[in-house]
Amino acid sequence: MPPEVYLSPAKVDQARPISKVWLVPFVALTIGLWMLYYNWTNQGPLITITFDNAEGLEVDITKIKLRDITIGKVVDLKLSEQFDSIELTARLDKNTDPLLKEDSSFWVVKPRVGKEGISGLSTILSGGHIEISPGQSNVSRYEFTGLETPPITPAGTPGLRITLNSDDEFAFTTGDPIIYKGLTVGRFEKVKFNFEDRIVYYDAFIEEPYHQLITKNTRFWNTSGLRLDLSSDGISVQTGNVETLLTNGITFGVPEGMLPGPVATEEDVFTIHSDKESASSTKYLHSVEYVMLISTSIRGLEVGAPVEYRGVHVGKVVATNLNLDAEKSLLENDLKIPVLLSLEPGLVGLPDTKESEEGIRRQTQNWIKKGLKASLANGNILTGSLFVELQHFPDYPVDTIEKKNDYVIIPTIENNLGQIANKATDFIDTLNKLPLEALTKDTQQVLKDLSATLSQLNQTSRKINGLVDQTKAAELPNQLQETLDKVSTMTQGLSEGSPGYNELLNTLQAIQSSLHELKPLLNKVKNRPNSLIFSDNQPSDIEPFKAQGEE
Amino acid sequence: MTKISLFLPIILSLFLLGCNSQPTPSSHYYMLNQQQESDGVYGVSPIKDIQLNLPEYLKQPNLVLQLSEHELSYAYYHTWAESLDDAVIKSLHQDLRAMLKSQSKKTEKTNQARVNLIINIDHFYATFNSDVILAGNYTIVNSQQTKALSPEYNFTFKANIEADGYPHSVAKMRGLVKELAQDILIHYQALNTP
Repeated sequence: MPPEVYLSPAKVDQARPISKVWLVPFVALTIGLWMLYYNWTNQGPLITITFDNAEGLEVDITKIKLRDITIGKVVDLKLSEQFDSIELTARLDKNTDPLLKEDSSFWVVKPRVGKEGISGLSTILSGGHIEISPGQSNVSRYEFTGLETPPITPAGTPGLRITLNSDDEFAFTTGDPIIYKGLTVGRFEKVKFNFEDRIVYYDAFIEEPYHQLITKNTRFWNTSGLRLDLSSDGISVQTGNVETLLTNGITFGVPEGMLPGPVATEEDVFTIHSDKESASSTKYLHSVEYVMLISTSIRGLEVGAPVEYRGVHVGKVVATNLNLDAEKSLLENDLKIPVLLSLEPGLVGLPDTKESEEGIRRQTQNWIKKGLKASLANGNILTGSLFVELQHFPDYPVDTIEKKNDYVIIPTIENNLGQIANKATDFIDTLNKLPLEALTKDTQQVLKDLSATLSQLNQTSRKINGLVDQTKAAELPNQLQETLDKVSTMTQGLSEGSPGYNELLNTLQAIQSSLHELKPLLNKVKNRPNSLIFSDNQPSDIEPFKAQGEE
Repeated sequence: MTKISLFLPIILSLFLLGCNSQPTPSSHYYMLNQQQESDGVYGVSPIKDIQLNLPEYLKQPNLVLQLSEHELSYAYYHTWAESLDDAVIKSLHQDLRAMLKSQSKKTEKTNQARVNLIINIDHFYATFNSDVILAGNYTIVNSQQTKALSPEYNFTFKANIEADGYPHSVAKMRGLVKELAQDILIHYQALNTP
């Protein structure tokens, strides 16, 4: 029988309700929850952008950037329900909500080559990204329609947005520049065509500070390419800048002599004129129209040609060859071609008002009665263009003022060349009327008489010469004899041995002797002129010497 | 006042001193002919007239000294007292008369036709070789100077200078003129020798 073993009572410990092992998943869960919270609290807004296509876009790779700083990335790409576009979902960084306004815009940045130049070259290597242009509105928005191209004017750019219109044949596209004195101060943003008016409307933006130049009286005109103008003022070349030389563009300005007026607002609509002249010509609203009747050719007279009064531009030609005479046609001989002129008060320094129109009308009628005439003058000999010149001819006043179709007629007078031609014709006619044949006969007779007279005069002259010769021949021997006697007396006085001869000889010898003595002095003066005043230290003469060794 | 009276003569003296000039050599005038030679010489010269042609450089009063082959010097303080051509002509006449007179005493010479003489002198001065020279040519012509009676005789006479200075040289030059007169007389007499 095995020995009895004493067994001590078992110590029973109370089992723990939760194992320590559970601490690990708990910590992990806590960290996970913290990460979820951290991620949830630090993630930005989720936005949806609709594009036409997803070219260059990839989930988790394509970034959303503002000024080249990444502020989010594309998290989803899917086709729209109608399959006509794609919907892009992007998660932005925290605190980017202020960028998401209803006027914010998104576009895909990729390499582009256009009129404005080359852009987006950096995306060739880095891949495309989506650029955001933050809006200025107060209304937040999280769904956007992406732009195909970058916006012409980023939202929030200071300046003035205006509306332009044009019914001309030329057209502008988005991005075309607006030039002022060669500077690009704005661009076309949108092009809209109004089918009712058949006019193209453009939204254009003028950047600050140039928007201050746009006033109510500002005129816009086309400056696309190079404009070569041959007018009565000569040849002129107009262009905007290098960009407009290659593409389209407009420029603007206030016509000369016109005040700028109040600053324009976004409600103002401006017309784009074809050129500067047409833009400037419409600067005055009020004008007075007259007719002049031309009996000669109006070749070279263009519509818009200036009307000048004593060299001052006071108006323009509105129309040529008006059909005022319904019952007469151009085929009739005596038809005078009517030319419609307009004189503008603003051009002569008067206010552009109705009252000024009346003032012009009264003054012009008064001048017409006193002899105001209109004539065509050559503006440019090279081009042959004409302009209308108003001049006073006090010698040709008129009693009554004629009218045609309610237009007052300014009497015409031929231009300078015509006047010269007429005067030349009159002169030639006068010459023709002269009795030249009779005059020639008379002249021949006079010449014959004159010849006879001269012949007689010649004979008389010969007779006189004969008389004079006879007189001289009688007197000459006596005079010669007297002269010879005197010469004989003189020669006797100077003959050899006579006192006069000896005296003369002595005098000559004395002169010769004096000259002989003067010779050294003259030589001295010639060599040393100052020796007459200052003592000359003339050295002793070199004298002849005896031969060496000879004693 | 006293000071002024002292200063005035001093200042005037200084001015006068300013006008003082260096003493210059005195001028000397020379006659080719001398009084002793002309005294007592009478008679008729066989040469009626002498036409003496001097070169330009001798037609002036300054005595001439030849310094080198082609260089002459005019004396400044030594000048002829009369024109050189007159002096030479006078000397020739005087010498010819004297020579003819002495010959007449010896040979009882008969009267001879009087002729003229044309002398061209090229050189007549003292030289750097310590001698004096007289060179040129002469022609004996008839009294009307229309016909040459002799060929053209060239002559060159020289004499050594034995003492320094112009006075001795002038005396030597006078001797050369005498030699010329002797030569002329010889040729003149040859004309009349049958």
